[in-house]
Amino acid sequence: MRAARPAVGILLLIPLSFAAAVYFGSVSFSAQEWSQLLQGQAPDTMRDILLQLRLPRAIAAFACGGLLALAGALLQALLRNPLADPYLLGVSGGASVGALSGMLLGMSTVATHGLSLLGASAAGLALLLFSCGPGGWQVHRVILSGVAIGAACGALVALILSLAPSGELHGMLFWLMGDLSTADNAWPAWIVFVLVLTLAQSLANALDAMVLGELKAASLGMPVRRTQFLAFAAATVATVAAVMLAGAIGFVGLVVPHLLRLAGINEHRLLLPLSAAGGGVLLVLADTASRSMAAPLEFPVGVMTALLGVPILLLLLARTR
Amino acid sequence: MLSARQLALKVPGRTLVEQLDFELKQGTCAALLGRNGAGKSSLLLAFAGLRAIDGGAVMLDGIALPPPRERARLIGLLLQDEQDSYWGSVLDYVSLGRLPYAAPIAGVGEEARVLAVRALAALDLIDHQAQSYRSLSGGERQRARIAQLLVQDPQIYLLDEPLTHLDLGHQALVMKLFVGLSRAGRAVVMSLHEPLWAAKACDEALLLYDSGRFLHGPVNEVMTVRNIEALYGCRLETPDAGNRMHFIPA
Repeated sequence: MRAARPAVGILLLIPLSFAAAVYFGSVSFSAQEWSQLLQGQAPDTMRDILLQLRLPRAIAAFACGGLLALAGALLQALLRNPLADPYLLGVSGGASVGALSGMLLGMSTVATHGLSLLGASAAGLALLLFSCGPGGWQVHRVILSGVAIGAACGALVALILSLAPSGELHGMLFWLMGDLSTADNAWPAWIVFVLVLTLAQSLANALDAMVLGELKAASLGMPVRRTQFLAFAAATVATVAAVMLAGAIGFVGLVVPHLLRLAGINEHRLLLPLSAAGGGVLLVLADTASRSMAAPLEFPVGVMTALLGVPILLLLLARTR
Repeated sequence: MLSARQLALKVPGRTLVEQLDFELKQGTCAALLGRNGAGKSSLLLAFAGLRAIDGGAVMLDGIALPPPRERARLIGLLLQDEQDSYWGSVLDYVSLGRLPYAAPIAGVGEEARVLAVRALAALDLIDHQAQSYRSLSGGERQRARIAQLLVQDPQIYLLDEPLTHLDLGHQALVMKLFVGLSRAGRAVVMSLHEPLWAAKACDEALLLYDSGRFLHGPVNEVMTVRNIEALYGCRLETPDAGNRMHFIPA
């Protein structure tokens, strides 16, 4: 089977990326300490760093990357546009406005999280409201509404940044570019991840048909409106969950499904789970690099996803006929 | 097989067809002729159950059209303008015709690929199977769409301008293919802009005039020079070439 090689490659990368995430970091351990760890006699500080800091962060990164890539794959199929990206929906803009307002007002982390969820929900609700006009629910209206809401949120974000005291700016910029250092509680994101992947998988055949256009999909017996609605809902929820966890990390949702398509995987029953896995791997690796390359300095992970993803994408594009 | 009873189709401000009674029998190849905007595409969509109708009924073997998935195994539709932006290979594209039969997790499967290879061979595209669909020319895409329809393997083929973009040789190939399918017990309706092909290859013709009027009957009865002139609103010259009918604008 032609899809077997990339699939096996990605599945092998999952444990490797986790191993890298646990191995690398701002503190390095000696070979002796690692062998002690394998014998179960590691010092407590080492165990704490590996199990309390690095592993949970990798687990969070995997869910976040998987959610974004899944949302990207769904939107690209629905809009039949290779440039579709989770951030087109405008919900991450809403989350940004919420989170940055919280930071500006000096709120606690929990309250900031709450505000960001509120912002994302408000943007999602506005999206739903404006995309249902006369003549029912239409794809182009969803996307235009999303872009408009995103633009409004972008303006508000710029306003907040201009008002913010310089001490707050650093944290805000990290949030906007994506940051996993505060992503300590990943289980809500994992629940959403599993649910969205299951839902998306059940839509796989219909999404294959949707790529051919609405009318053709209908002539092949597919429930077009239902598929569009569920896939949009899944992509929105996935994006919100990812943004809540780690801020607005760009590029994963765009690049991962494309890498897979360029590797010859077009059937959604393979494309969706492999996008989820590939997005997870990419973000685990990007986060590991962002926190260990110039330790103790930490880059925003969004910078690394782009720096890792862009060369691979360009290389594959250049090789395709 | 497929029948329409007292069918009415309207678009805002205009009636496309009215009180249309039509029956498509097994083994028939019917041509659908009419001017631009006469309602050919709308009628085919209504036959396929994909357009709301404004009166009457479309039926399959005397009962209402079955639910979408079953319907897709019985009725196949070739759209006039499929703005498809498919990213995969030609073989993958053609295999998608098997979607109405696919199990949820299994996808279209290996059977679809076997059928797709056969269909590609029938449409003279076998050398392009590994190529990306987007790299095909207009005529090649049209043939790939037809191949996809063959993989769908319906009982009734509804074809909206199957000959668009095709060169003369491939027009002949496609017409021969569908006439062959109708002879083998399927039923075909195709909208055509070339009365020559209708007269040569089809058994019946359905002529759609303005304001909902129509004519339906065997090709040699309905497709008279006078009817065709009235249909297209243009004078014809009819060179004498044995017993064949020719329709060439004067």
